[in-house]
Amino acid sequence: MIAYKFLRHGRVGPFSGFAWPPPGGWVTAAETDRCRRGVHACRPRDLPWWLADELWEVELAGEVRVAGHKLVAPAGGLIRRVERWTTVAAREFADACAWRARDHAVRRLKLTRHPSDAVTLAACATLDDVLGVARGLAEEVVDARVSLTIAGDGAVRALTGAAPTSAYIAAHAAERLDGRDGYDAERAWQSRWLVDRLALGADELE
Amino acid sequence: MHPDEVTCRQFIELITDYFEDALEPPTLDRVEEHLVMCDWCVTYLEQMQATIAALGELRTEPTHREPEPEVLSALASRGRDRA
Repeated sequence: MIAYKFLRHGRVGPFSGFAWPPPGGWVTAAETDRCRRGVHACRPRDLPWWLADELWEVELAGEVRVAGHKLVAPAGGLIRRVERWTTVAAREFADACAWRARDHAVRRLKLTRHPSDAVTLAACATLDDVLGVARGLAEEVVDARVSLTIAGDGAVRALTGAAPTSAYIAAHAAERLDGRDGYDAERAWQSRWLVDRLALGADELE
Repeated sequence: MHPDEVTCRQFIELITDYFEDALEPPTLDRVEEHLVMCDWCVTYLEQMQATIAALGELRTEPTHREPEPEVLSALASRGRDRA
């Protein structure tokens, strides 16, 4: 089974510290019922949860289990690095998520009958503008304060290059409006963005 | 907040079990998802790791040793004064 895996620089597991062998090498786990001892990877739909420095295409062997937002298998190996996942792509993704959080705050302003404030926030041309406008409005518009604060936080995290946090914030901005369905839809949007931008196989997205 | 998400406060409570590899897989998954996106908890984790490493390098000092002669002398003179 082909899947994906985020690693730190140098093919290092973000949590295990395990240094993966280069493509062609094979890693096996003695037991997979303990999470730490399995070979972990993810489906395209799971990518937004695991962002890190390097993205690799991996092959998993044996019985592959779905465990939350990850796959666990008894064996696996790196196939090739996804070269399109770069610091530039990560920055673009963070920005895209921050703009989505802004859009959710605009919607909240419209829903709470603050149309002129919605227009002001929607007119922001940069994330610096979003940060300033959202923070300012949050002081004044009580019934949209949380959404505006979230939008400001999303801009801050994108401006500092924190893609995983920016994605997390956008998902919660959507949840604020539409509940769990909104959260799931936002995560799905993020997965599609990554699949499209990185030209990945999207067989399991839906 | 999702019921299947870990908060920073919950992570602080779970960190000992995390170090000891004692978390059940579903909880471990949620902790690691949190660590991906939470710089503050990553910093806290690294500080804890550094503290544990530093403590592990401390020399073992004998717990019982003879008091310094000046102390013994002072105690002896105090005993004499009370007598």
